[in-house]
Amino acid sequence: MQSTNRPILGFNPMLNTVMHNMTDDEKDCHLCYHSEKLALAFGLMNTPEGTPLTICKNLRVCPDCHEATKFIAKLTGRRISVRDANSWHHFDETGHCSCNEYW
Amino acid sequence: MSDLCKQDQLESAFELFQRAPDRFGATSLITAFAKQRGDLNVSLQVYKLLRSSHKRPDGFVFQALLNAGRLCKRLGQVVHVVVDDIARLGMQLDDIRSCTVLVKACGDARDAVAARRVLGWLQGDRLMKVKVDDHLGAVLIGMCSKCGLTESEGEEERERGGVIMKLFEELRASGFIPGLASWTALIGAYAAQGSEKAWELFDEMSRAGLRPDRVTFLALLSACQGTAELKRGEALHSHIKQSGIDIDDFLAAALISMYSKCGDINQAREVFDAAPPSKEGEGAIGRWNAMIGALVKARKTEKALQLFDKMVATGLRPNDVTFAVALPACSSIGDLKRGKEIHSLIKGRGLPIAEFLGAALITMYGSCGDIKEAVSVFDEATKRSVSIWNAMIGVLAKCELGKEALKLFDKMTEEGVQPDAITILAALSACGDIGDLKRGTEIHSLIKQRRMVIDDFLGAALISMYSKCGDFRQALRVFDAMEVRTKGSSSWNAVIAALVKEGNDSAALTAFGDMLAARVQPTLVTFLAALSACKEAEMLKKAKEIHSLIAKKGIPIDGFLAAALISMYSRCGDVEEAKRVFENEVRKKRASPNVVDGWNAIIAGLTKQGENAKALAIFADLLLAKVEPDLVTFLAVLPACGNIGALTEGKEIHSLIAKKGMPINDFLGAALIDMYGKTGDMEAAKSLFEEMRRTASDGVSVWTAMIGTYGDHRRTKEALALFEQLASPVERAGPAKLDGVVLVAVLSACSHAGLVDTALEIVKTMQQRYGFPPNTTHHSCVIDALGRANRLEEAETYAEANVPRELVPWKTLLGACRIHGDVERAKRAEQRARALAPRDGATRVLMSNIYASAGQWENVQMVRDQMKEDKVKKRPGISNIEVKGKVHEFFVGDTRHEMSAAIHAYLAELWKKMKAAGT
Repeated sequence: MQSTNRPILGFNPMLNTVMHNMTDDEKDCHLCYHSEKLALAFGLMNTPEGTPLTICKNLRVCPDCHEATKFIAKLTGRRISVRDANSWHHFDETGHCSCNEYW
Repeated sequence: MSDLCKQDQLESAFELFQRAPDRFGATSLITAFAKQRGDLNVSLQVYKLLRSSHKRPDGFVFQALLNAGRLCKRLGQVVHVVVDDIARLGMQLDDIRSCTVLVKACGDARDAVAARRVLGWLQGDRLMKVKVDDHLGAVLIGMCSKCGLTESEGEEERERGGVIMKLFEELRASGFIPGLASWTALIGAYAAQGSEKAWELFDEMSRAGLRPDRVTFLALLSACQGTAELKRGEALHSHIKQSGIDIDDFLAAALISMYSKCGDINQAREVFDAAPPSKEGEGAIGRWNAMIGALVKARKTEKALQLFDKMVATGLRPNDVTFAVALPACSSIGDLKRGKEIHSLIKGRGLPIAEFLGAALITMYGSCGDIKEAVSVFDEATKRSVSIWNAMIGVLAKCELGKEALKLFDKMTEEGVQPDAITILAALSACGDIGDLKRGTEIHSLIKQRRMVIDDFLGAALISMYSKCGDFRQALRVFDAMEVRTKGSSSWNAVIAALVKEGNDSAALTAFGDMLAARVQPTLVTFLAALSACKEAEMLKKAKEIHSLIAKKGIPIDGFLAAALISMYSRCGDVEEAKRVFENEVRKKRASPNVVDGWNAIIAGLTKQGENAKALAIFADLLLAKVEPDLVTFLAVLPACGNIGALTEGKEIHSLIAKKGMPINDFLGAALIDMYGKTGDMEAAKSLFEEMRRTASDGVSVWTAMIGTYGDHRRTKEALALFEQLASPVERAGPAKLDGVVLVAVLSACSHAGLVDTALEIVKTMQQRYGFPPNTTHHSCVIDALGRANRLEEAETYAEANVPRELVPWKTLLGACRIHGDVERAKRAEQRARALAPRDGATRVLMSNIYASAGQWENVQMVRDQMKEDKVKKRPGISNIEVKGKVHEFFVGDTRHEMSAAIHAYLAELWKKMKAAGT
């Protein structure tokens, strides 16, 4: 994926990555349920602030989750590592990902 | 002259004889020189003098000559002279004594040619004249049996029981009434061939009113071989007891061997223990030898060696047979120390290291892994018989020293020793192991040249040799050329294994069916080969048939077979059945042999199917069940840790390996580094890699794992630097040598980092630089690199030019199209991928996602409908996170977790914050 123009300070769900044909509200809700977000939320809730998190996913991370993770890393000031079926994405506290948006 | 002989003045007597040779003098001198001087040469000289004086030798001269030959252990030579002269002089055999001596000599000399001639002279009315008595009858039958004159030329003769039966009938026709000795000889002759006829004759003899004696019983006992004959053996045993025959050492030894061969070690032991305390003597030693041999055969190796010790302690002197029986006991348990002790006992006794004793020693050292000592026994062997050569070549072939085995095979032929079937089998196996097709083909021609019959074993050896050398066509040709009735389970197994090795799984399964149709009994090896041919979901039905056939045949399912079943079901995608086999045949049977293989198979199978957490749970059960994990267990469980990021458990396994003192070899090191890389502990991966380099135990797998880990973490510089070191010609301490797999890791690192041109350069030059042509995986890496870099046009052309008929490259292109939203190209790539693998779910899901990204909802729906129609399943997304040492698993839209409600609430809150910040 090429570098997006979207500022990493804010977040806008990438609605077009959801495969179902539904209204935007429904899409928002559906995105909540992607497995990496569930795992990430669980990790954030159950570890002391500042603890780095590592998530392993069996498929490839979708662009939306990638965006969301960047934002969450920045918002919570945590280092988050996500390994998907392809490679590692290391997000630092500033919301920057080691993949440099090169997928 | 006979006085001179008596006074041991043989030289004077010889002088006297030279002046006037006569038959009487010759008889005395021949006997005297052989008996008193052990000099057969003078005896033969005496005979020559007599012949040159134109005096016809008579029966007495011949008898003296034959006895002399027997005394000087040169019977064969004398038999040849005597039979020749009888023919040349046209003498007629009509005196019973000379006849008996001659016939016995022919038999003892095992001279089939002489035996046939003597039989020829004793035809028809000649038999009447000789008036054959019971003793001569027995000797005649014995001669035929000993000389192997059992094969008969005509079909009719064979039906009547061959040469011996014909002789027996002729004797009876000439008025001969067989007594106990003849009957016993006759029964013995057929018993030695393992023929049913022995039992028929035994009945006939009993009907004739003759009572068997111990010799008859000895003959019959030797005919009881195999568990099916136990009843007969037991009947004989009680018959012996009823007859009131004293069970002496010889009879006891025969009974012990009989029970051993019939598989009843307990009764063998009873016979041994019931015998009176042993006194020094060949008989007693024979009884002990039989019992030690029986224990070895029953795999009660420790008991066998204990009995051997007891024998020595009792004061009995073990003979060469004892040693030859005890040595295989050491071989079977690899007890080098005991083997060496026995070797020094042999040395102490000054027994010549020749024949079977030498062979047993060589095999013992070979089996215990001391090749050097095996070679030195071989070098010291006084006379190298075929069995000694075979033992040495066999040891080398078994120890994967194929080249050395073949060298020795050449040397054997150079020294004029004819290789026999066993040598050829060992040599063929050596050719297969080192993949030497040229030598293998040469040995095949040798077999043809010598017109050796290609039986089941030889056929199997040829087939596996060709298959191991990669010449599958020739392997099949050997099998097809074999006679149908010689194709037994060995050759069928070999051909099925060859087809599996060739990758022709459906042909292998067809061959398996043909084997059953030909009514050849499948063995464990057959089933293992057939199971390994079942590789895809399409073969599941066939696989289940094989499984139920195994059950029907009552083949015991040990850990090894259970492992084959579990792996087969996992490969065919039936995880539930794999689990069932595991629960029933592995978990419940803690004591079954090789049980750990079953555990390993289920752990590997579950991991492969993505059930990593379950795999880890079963590994924990294995430790609880106190099953000893082995190298394969660790190689199976570590990827499961890596897949779900179970770092804590991975570390625990690492320390368990260290605690067990298991050496970390190349594969285990690679698995550990990979686990650390996948769970995100880069430091641990690096430090293990450095440690392995320091100890020079770094093979190429370890390097591949480390380069791959750097690549996955997008630390491309480090990955490439490591590769530079590996590829540089500078001497490294470790054994790593570059291979094709490490290049995949390097290319993948390039792809992640966007180093497209570097990747292209590597693939272009790898053949020339490293000697490996690029394979599909290498090409896929290049397509991946081009695709990520949005050079989709190039990627498509590249795939079309290099790997048009492979699935992975097209799927890779499809993935790239998704990243860059190229719907039209994606459609083309999907079509190609789908043509190659219609049931691949991932391809469909990718395409559906691409349509969704482009907002083409009708197409999304179309793909989804098609998937339903084709029953293609989508793999659910699973994410794992380790918190406080425990891995938690989440599916898409998962609500199963105990904290599910809280998680969803937390996310909703986070969502609001994100939206607020975003807009």
